[in-house]
Amino acid sequence: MTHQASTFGWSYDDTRWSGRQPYTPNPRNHKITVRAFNTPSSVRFTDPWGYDNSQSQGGLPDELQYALDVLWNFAISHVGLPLPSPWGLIRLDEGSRLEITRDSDLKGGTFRYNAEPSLQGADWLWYIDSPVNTGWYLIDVHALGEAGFNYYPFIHVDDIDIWLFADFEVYR
Amino acid sequence: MILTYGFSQILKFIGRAGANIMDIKKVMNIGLVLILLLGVSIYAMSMKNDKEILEATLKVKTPTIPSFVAINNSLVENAINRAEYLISQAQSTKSNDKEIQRFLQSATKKLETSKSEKDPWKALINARKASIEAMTVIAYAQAKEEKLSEEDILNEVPKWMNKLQLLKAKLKHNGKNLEYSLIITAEVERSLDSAENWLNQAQEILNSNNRPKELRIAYAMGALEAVRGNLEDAELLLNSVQKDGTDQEGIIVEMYRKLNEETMLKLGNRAYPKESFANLTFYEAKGFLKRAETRFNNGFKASATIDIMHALVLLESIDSLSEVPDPWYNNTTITADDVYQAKKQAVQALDEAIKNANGNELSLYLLKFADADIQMADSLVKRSIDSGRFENTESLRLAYALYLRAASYAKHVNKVIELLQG
Repeated sequence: MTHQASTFGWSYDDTRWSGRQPYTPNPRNHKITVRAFNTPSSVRFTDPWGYDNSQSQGGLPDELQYALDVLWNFAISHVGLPLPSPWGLIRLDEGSRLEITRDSDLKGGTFRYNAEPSLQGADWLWYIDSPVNTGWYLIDVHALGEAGFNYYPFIHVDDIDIWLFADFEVYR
Repeated sequence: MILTYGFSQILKFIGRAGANIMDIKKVMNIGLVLILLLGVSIYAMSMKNDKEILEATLKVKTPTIPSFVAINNSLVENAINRAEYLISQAQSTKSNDKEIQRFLQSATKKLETSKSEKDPWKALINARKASIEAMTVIAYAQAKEEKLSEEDILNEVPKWMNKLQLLKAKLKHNGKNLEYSLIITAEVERSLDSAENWLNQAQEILNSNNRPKELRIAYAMGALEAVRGNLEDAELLLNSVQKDGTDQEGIIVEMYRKLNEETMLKLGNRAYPKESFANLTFYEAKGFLKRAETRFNNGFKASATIDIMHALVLLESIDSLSEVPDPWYNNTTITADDVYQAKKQAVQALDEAIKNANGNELSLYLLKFADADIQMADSLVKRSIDSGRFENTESLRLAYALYLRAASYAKHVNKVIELLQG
C-alpha cells in the first residue's frame, strides 16, 4: 500500500498588481489526472479525496507538501505571477466543489476542481493486489489548469501543464 | 446537555410527586421513567464517537509473531553504509529537476528510518530502498551530462546475470529440519526471484515507456541497484543456512505437488459475486497459484511451495468472506464500530492460531500473512483518523475487509499443516 498526493491551483488576491495589470487566474477546469501505466502487479487507485484551501497549516501528508512545493516553484519560475505565499491546505467540508471520477479499471482517476482558485490538492493510495511483485511501479500524475489576465488588455498565459512522475518501488 | 436538562426536570417532578406521597402509582411511574432515562444515559455515555472508536481500534494490540529468519548485523550495517555513500554522491550532483530531487528527499528519509528501526529486516529494506533511490538521482545527473548511456546499462546486465546464475546453482535445501529448510530456502529464493525481476525490468524500462531518456536511464540504474542488493541478501542468507542437515529438496518438491493438487481441486469451478471481498480473495489466491507455477518452473521450489500454501489458505478462507463487501464495488456502509469489531476478531483469531501453532515454525511463518493484512488495515484506519473522516471511507471499508480476511486466514492456516501430516 503506497500513499501519494498531489496539489493544484493557487491562491490569489485581486488587489495585487502585476506591473499595471491586475491579474485573475482563470479558476475553472483545474484538473489532476492520475494513472498507473506500467506496473509489475495489478494496482488499484484507492481512497481518493480532495483538499481545499485554508489559511491554516493543516497536518499535511509529506507527499502533498512536496507536491505543493513543486507547484509553487513551477509557478514562480515559469509563470512569473506575483503569487502570495502558499497556504496550508485542509479538508474540504462538502464534496460539491470537487468531483472525483475513477477509471473503470481502478488504475487511475481524475480530480476536477470547479472552485475559485485556491490551493487544492488530491490524496490517494495505491493498493497492490497480492501477490506483490517487485520492481518500479510507474505512475503518471498530470495536473492541468488555466491562468491568465482577464482585464483589458487581455493577456492569456498558457495553460499550466505539469507532469509529475509519482513512481515508487517494491524492493523485495 | 439534553440529558442534564432531562434529569433536572425529573428531579423537579419527583419533588412535586413527593408532596403527594399517597400516589404510589405515580411514584412508580416516575421510577420507571427514571430507570429508563438512566438506561438511555448509560447507553449514550457508552456510545463513544466514531473518532474514539477508531482510535480504540488502533489500540487493540496485535500479537507479535517470532521471526525465524535471522539476518546478520553486518548485512544491515553494510546496506546502511552503502545507502549513506550513495546519498552523499547524489547530494553532490547539481540537478534542479524537482522530480529527481523528490527521490533524494525520499532516500534520506528512508535512511533515517533504517537507522532507527529495531526490526533488522525493516532496517535492511529501508536502507536498500534508499540506495535504489539515491542511485536513480546519480544516474539521472550522469545521463543529463551524457556520461551515462543506455549502452552502459546494457553492458552491466551480463555481469549481474552471471552472479544470479552462480547463486542459483548454489541453492541448497538444507536445514536443521524440514520446516526450517523450507522457510530459509524460500527467503533466499525470494531474493533471487526479486533480483531476476529487477534485472528484466532494467532492460524493459530502457525501451518501453514514454519518459525522457535521462529518466529511463535513471530508473534502469536504480533497478540494477536493486539487483545488487537482492543478490547480496541472497548470498548472505544462503551462507547462513546450516551446512549440516540433510537435503530436503525431494521432500519439498513432493510437498509442492501434493498441495498443488489439493489447491486445484479447491479452485474447481467456483465463482463469487463481484460485490463481495470473497471475489477479490479468490482472484488473489489465483495470483499466488500462478506465481507458484512460474517460480517452480524457474527452479524456485521452496518459495513456490510457500506461495501455494498461501493460495490454499486463502481458498479455505473465502466462504466466510462472501458477506464482506468489496470496497471497490459495493457501497454498503461500514461504521467505525464495524471496523473495531473486525479488528477484535482478527486479533483474537491470530492469538488463538499462534497458541495452536504450538511453536510450529511453518504455521507461524504463514501467519505473517495475516499479520501483514492487520498491519495494512491499521494504517488505513490511521489514514481515516488523520484526514478527519470517521465513517465509511474507502480506507475503512478496505480495513474492515482486511481485518476479517486476516481472521479467516488465521483460522484456516492449520489446513496446510493437516494436509502435510495426513
